[in-house]
This record gives sequence, structure tokens and C-alpha cells, in this order.
Amino acid sequence: MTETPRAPMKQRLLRSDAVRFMAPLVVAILAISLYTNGKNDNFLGGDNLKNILLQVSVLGIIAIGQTLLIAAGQLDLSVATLAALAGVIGATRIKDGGSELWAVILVLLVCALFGLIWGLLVAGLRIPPFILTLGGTSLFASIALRISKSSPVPARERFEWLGRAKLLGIQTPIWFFLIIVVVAALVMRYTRFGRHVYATGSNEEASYLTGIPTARTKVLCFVISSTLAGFAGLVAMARISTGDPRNGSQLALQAIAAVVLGGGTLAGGRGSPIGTFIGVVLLAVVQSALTFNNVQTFWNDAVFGGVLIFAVVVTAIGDLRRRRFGARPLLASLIQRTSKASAEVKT
Amino acid sequence: MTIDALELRGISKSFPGVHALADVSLVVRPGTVHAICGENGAGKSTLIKIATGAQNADSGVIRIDGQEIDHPSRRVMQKLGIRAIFQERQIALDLSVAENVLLDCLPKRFGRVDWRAAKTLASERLQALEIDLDIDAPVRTLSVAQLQMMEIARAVSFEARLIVMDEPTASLSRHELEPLFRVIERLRREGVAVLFISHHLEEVFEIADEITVMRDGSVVAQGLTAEFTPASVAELMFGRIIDSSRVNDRADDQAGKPMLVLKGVSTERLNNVSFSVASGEILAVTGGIGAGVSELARVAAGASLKTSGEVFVVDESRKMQGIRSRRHALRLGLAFLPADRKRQGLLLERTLVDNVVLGQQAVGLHPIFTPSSAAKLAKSLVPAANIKTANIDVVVGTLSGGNQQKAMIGRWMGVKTKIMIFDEPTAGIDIASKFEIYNELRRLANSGVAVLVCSTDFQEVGQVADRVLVMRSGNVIGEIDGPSATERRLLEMEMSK
Repeated sequence: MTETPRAPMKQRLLRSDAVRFMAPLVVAILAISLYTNGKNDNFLGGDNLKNILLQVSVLGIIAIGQTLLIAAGQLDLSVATLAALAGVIGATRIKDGGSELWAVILVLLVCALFGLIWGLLVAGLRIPPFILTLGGTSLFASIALRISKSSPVPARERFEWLGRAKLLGIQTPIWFFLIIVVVAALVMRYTRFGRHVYATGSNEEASYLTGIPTARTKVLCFVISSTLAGFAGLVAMARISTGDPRNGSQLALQAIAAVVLGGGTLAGGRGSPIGTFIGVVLLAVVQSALTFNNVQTFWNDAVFGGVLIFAVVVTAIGDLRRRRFGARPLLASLIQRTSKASAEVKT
Repeated sequence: MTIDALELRGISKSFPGVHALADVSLVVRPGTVHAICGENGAGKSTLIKIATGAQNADSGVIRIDGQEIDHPSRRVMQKLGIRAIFQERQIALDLSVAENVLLDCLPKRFGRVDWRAAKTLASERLQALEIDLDIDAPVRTLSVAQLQMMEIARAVSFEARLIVMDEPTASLSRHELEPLFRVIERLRREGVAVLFISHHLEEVFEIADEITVMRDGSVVAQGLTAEFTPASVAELMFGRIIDSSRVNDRADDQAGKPMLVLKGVSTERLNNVSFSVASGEILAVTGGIGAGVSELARVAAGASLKTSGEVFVVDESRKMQGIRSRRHALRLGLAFLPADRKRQGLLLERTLVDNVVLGQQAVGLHPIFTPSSAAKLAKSLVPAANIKTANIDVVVGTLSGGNQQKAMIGRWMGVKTKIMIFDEPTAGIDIASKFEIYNELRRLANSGVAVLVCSTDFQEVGQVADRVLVMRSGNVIGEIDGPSATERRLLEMEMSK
């Protein structure tokens, strides 16, 4: 029997996430880097590059967990305070004289348990994850404050291997981040679980009726994301040898921003670990470039917001031309009209 | 000379790789019903999207009341009185019937919505069309047929000059056709033009004044209904003679071993339903709206809960396995193809590859998938399911209804499937593609699959099934063998006490 061919390579490439989302980000990263490097050639020096990655390793680990959730059509706002709570629990265990390995295991188990609870509530009772995890955010923040008695908990130097040691000249948090990105990318692309995640996010009802275990998939995503958040919290704590209950309150939103930059959509079904990695690096490069260019720090958040808005607007405009079914956004007809008009002018 | 309600002149449109419309011209006069006939991919949908401003043509002219429209858009066309009822429902599910009927023209008093007036207005409009709906009911609770009547009420309630109905009868049972035709009749008397797209030729001949037949993006014939016969239209549509008799009977007359067994299944809407489907046979369950046919499909597939009774799948060692969940049923080799393909069947925004390999990914015998192995599988599944497409990387949402249904069948060809349950297998699919689907059903059965077809289309049931069960309000009220299940016989059974 004859086989139906694939689309031409060029067409597939143009439609792929790599070209549509990642390539523009890479171009942006290169442009910003080269510009800043022209002013101060330390920017592209090995130390600064490592520093940039080190700065975002905690955010990056959280963002990978968020990528899975967003691809499955879910969301978890509570990962930031869960990470802070993880750091506090870890530091407290050490302060009370426990072994560090047990502290790590305990923290990861506690976080996985919270993820399991979120997942079961979302999948079992169909609670919108946005509201549920918004509640969780406050809950974790309070527990962290209670355990730490509202002040940072010193962890002495015990967690060095988690936060400050070097392997082949590169700090361990960077290794953790990179390994997690690679593993997540492989899992999402090549495994049954990964395909179930995308199917669930694309059309949950259709996936369920096909027989995909959508509930289990969602629960697993929450468990993985929360565990990664806990691990990120431990890394953050180890880097400063302190469990700070107020650490990193912005991380959840930044992680979501990184996922969206990398091609994820909150409607589900899209988003990839590699895209998220590039998104995280872009945020970090922008942040570092601002410092190198002596921009005052209060502009940081504005630039962060600006980059995000710019990226989604550009993506949305790209989507307008592609859409051929479903509701048509307002701008589509305008663009069609102007492009038609310009075509007429040309002929 | 009367002015034409809508005139399309020399409309052409192409999509990348597809020439959707080539130089199509069409005139709809006020107070007439103009039917467009054509098989899937003939360009009907594209044409009406252009007529309603949802898409813009590459070239050609649109005139309304003799006025040329420069920049057609949904908004502009709506203002000019062109209203459309698309197959894709345009409904706010969480609002009430009243709000949906009056969606963009709620009566206001002192700058706020006057709810009392709104309710009166909405119920007047429904009454005028003799549609029996509770105006306070949230729309989510309505049936598909009720939703459609509501949408018609909405379209009609505007100052409509021309109403486009895209397959309005696709989801209606025979009982509900009558009110629809009454409404169309009334519109005609009031001078409203109707552009009626349907693949049911009997309906076309019942209601239309003029017919345009399309094939491959071009108009192949146009004229008064009297100039055509159903047979001539069918021949023009497909370029060949269509046989509307039964599709082939089963290969061997021997009934296979039972594969799917229902014992005393009850839910809120089903009452003590028992039957079994054997391998190699096509069993159809049919009935009118409210019979519970669709609910039965879901329960048998393990997708809806039952209050009592048991659904069994017979496994390799001939043991009866009671199914516990949709996933458990899948594991036992039971596939389910829901009626609402867009919402419940397909990953619309994903490619054909992603959609046809989903069956294998769901079963998940292999924990590892590579994109290249998925493409390889899709390359063979797509032609195996007779899906007509230039390549396997098309987005599924852009395929025709027939091809979408075949994509769902293809999904189950790559895995070991023993039982397939179809809910309305040809909803929204035109005649020629219907036959292709019927042939697919028969091929599946001949390959040893037990096929259960849940359908409210009596004609379809008679054409395809080996055995037919007739249901009424949740009860099985009779059984008849396929060849003698004519539309008329089934109707008698359903009506009888």
C-alpha cells in the first residue's frame, strides 16, 4: 500500500516550535549579549556566563516543573513559597542536628506529598488549579514563617555539595539545572508519559475518551513539579547557607513567564523544556545586561514585564496568519486587508 | 426585477496547496431557499465562510442588495443582515437560553439590561417559531437538538435578510425536522432568503427552490429544483452514480463469539439494557431523541457511570471482564469514537500524525516513542484508513468531517482493537463520505472486530447493520435483523406501543 508522505521539510520547519519560538529567543539572546559585550567585553567572559546560569538555576528548575504542568493544561502558583518552605525545613533539620541526606529526602517527600494533594484535588474534584494553588501560596508562606519563627535559619556549611561545590569548574546548581532540562526534554519528547501530557493539555476530554489516563497524568505533573520546586528550594538554601522563609516570592510568576516565552500556552498542549530553558536564559541575560549597562535596578521588573508582553504579542501576530478554523481574532482581518492592499499596490 | 439578496460573482480562494474555490458565482433571491449540494471538500464550507465574511476571497465580488461590499467581515455582513448558523456551535454555555437568543441585542433601560423585557422578548421569539424551551434554563443543560433550535431562533430574531444554514439537519432527528422546515417556510413567506447547505438530498428537494451543485471547488450545475432529480444531483455531486442501498453484508454468515456483553445496565436515563455484540458483526442501537442511544454508547465504552448492571468484555481466555473505567476498557481492546469529534475526539490544533498515533500512545505498550516512529506509523495508517490528504503533517482541524472521522478510525487501526463503539458515526458527514465510513465499518467487522453503532439515523442503521436494536426512553423495545430494517419499519417499531 502506498504511504502518505510527510509535509515538505521547509514547511515542517517553519511550523516547528524550534523555529517559531526558540529561534527568535536565541537571536534576542545573541543580540543582547553582543551589544553588551561591545561595551564591556567581560559580558561574554566565562565567569559571567557561568554567573548568569548560576543566577537562574533555581528559577530554571522550578520552570521545568511548570513546563510539564502548563503542557498538561495546568498551573501551580504555589511553587515559589513551597521552595522557600523546602529551604526552611532543610535548614531546620540541619540546625537540629540531622543528617543532610535525610534532610533532603524528607524535604522532597514533603513536597511530593503536597504535589500529590494538589493533583488529587485538581483531577478528582475538578478544582481550577489557579485558585487552589493561589491558596497554597499563602499556606506555604505561613508554614515557612512558623517553622523558622520568622527569621532566616542558618544551615552552616553542610549543604555545600548542593549549592556551592564545583564539578569540572562549574557550580553544582548549574549541573542540576542542565541535567533536569535534558532529562525533562527526553521524557517529554520520547516517552509515553510525555505524549500523554501533551494529549491531555491539547484536549482533555478527547484524551480521556480515547483511554489516556488523564487524571493520573495530571497528578504526576503536580507531583513532579512540586518535587522539583522543593529541590530548587534546597539548592537556593544551600547557595546562601540559609533557609530564608521570604526567599524568592517572585519565582512562580517568573517561571510561568519563562515557559510562555519558550512557546508554552496556558491553554495547554504546548511548551517544551528546551524552550523553557532558552526562556530562562533570556530572562537572565536581560537581567545581567541591565547590570552591565548600569541601568538602575528599579527598571528590572519593567524590562522583565516588557520582554514578556513583547514576546506574546509577537507570537500572537504570528498565529493570526496560521489560524484557519475557530474564532478569528480581531487583528486577523486587519492584517489580511493590509496585506491584500499592499499586494494590490505591488501589482 | 427583484434585487438579489446576495450575489457572489467569480469567487476564488486558495489555501496553501489547495485550490478551495475556483470562479464560483451564486445568486440568492429574497424569499427563496437556495440549497448548495456537494460532497466534502467540494468547497461548500469555504463558500459560506466567504459569504458570511468569516473568510475573505482571493478574488471576486460580493453584492448585497446590489451593493458591492468592499471589505467583508463577520461584523459588516451581520449588519447587512447576513446571518449564519454554523456547524460549530456559537453558544455561551453558561448563560441562559434567553441571553443566548438575544446575545448581542439585549434590551436596555436606563443603560442597563432590562431582564424582564429580555425574557418576554426571548420567549416571544421562541414561541413565534414554536420552539419549546425553558428560557431560564442554563444552556449547558440542553441537548444538541435543542441548542440548534435555540441558535436558529437567535439568527431568525435579527433583522435577517439572508440566513445561511450549514448542515442544519445534521444533528436533528426526524421529529425535529418538521419545526425546522416550518421555520424556513415562514422565513420564505416573509421574504428572507435562505442558503441551505445539506447533504440530505431528500431534505433539499423538500425545501429548496433552487439548487447549486458544487464539485472540487467549482459550480457544476445551477438551476430550479424542478430541473433536477435527487439521482441527477447525486451524480453531479460525485461525478458518478451513487448506490444508496445497503453496504455489503458480512463476509461469512456465521455469527462470531460474543465480545461485548451488557447485562442489565441502568443509569438515570437507561433502564435495564442487555445485549451482546459478537466479533465480525455490526450491531446498531437506534431510537429517537431521548431514547438514550448516545448515553448507552458512553456507558458501554466505560466513559459514563452506571447505577447498576455490568458491561463485560470477553478477553483472550474467554473470560468475562467487567470494565471498571474508560482506560480499563481500552486495555481490554475497546475503542470509543464519540459523536462530537471536534470536542471529544480530536486534538484539533495538532497534526494528523499526533492524532492517528494517539491510539497507540494511549494503549502504551511501548513506553518509548520517537517522532520518527510516530511519522512512520502515521504514513501507513493514513492510507489504511483512506484519509485523503496531501501529507500527514496537516493540522486535523482543517480536514473535512469525513476525513476527521477516518482519522479517528485510523487511530484504532494501529492497535489491537477488538470492539469499536461508534456514537453517530456519520454526524455532519456528506453522502459519499458516509458510504466510505460504512465501508470502513464493514471492513473492520470483516477483520473480526465487534462493531457497535449507536445512531439516531434510521437510514444509516438500515444500510450498515447486521442487527438492529430499537430503543425508546432508555428501554430496548425491539430487535430486527439488518436487511429488513428499513427506515419505515424502524419508524413503526419506534412509534408502536
